[in-house]
Amino acid sequence: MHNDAWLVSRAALLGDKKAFCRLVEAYQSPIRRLFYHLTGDEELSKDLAQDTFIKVWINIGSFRAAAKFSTWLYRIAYNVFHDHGRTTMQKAVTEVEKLSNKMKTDTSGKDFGIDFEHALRVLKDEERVAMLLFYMEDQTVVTISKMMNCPANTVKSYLHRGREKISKYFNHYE
Amino acid sequence: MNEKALRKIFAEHKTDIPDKGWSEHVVKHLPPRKSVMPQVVMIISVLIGLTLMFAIQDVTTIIEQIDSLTTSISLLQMPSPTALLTYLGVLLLTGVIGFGVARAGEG
Repeated sequence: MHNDAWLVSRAALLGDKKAFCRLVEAYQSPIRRLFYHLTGDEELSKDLAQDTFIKVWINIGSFRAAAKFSTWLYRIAYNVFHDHGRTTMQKAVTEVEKLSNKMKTDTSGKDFGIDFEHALRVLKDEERVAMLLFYMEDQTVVTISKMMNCPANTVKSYLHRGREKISKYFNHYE
Repeated sequence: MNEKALRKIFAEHKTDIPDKGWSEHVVKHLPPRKSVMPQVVMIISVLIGLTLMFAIQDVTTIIEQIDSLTTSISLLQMPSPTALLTYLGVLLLTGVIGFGVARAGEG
């Protein structure tokens, strides 16, 4: 059983696709899961995950062994999602606004049901990323700040707002 | 909603996604990325090898040493350590050159 550093060095120095395949196999599940919960779309999550691994393959020479491979991988995944989000940002905002309005007007909340995926849609992109990395992928605030390329305090703010919104959502439908 | 309940909700929705050949599909569609490192390593190794070889002994001496080694083996005698080391050095150098040529051919 080889570790990440060994597989990364083989892929980077020798262009070893078998070693790279082992890395993809090891990380495909958490990366696809993250994209699925971020987008709510299985096919789109596959495409974004594929884009991520292609970017990793192209830029693997710039990976520095001092950093953890998973942190670097999630950072690329976040950038891929961020780039994709630029084109769909307006759509997401409209969706959140619609959902908020529905929450205000819907008096029969129980019909809507407690739905995890809907709850995530209430969050802004950065809040959703931070919440998923922290609560689902068990990453620390410091690691998330490296992945999202922002200060740890900003991540704490995202988590704080995320907790408030999710709690509000679930309390509304309980 | 408290922290414990929040963690529970996220944990409940954390499911492993089966690979089902997806990784192989991704690797098959990777763009070509020609690594320059093997060639660089090979060139440096060959240059160091050649420099050391000529710095320590001239070509005639190397041929004489290898000749002495083959003579020793054919007469079932113990070869001299110098002849053996020279032979191993030449073998290593030709191996490196061969590997470099093979890698260049793959690329």
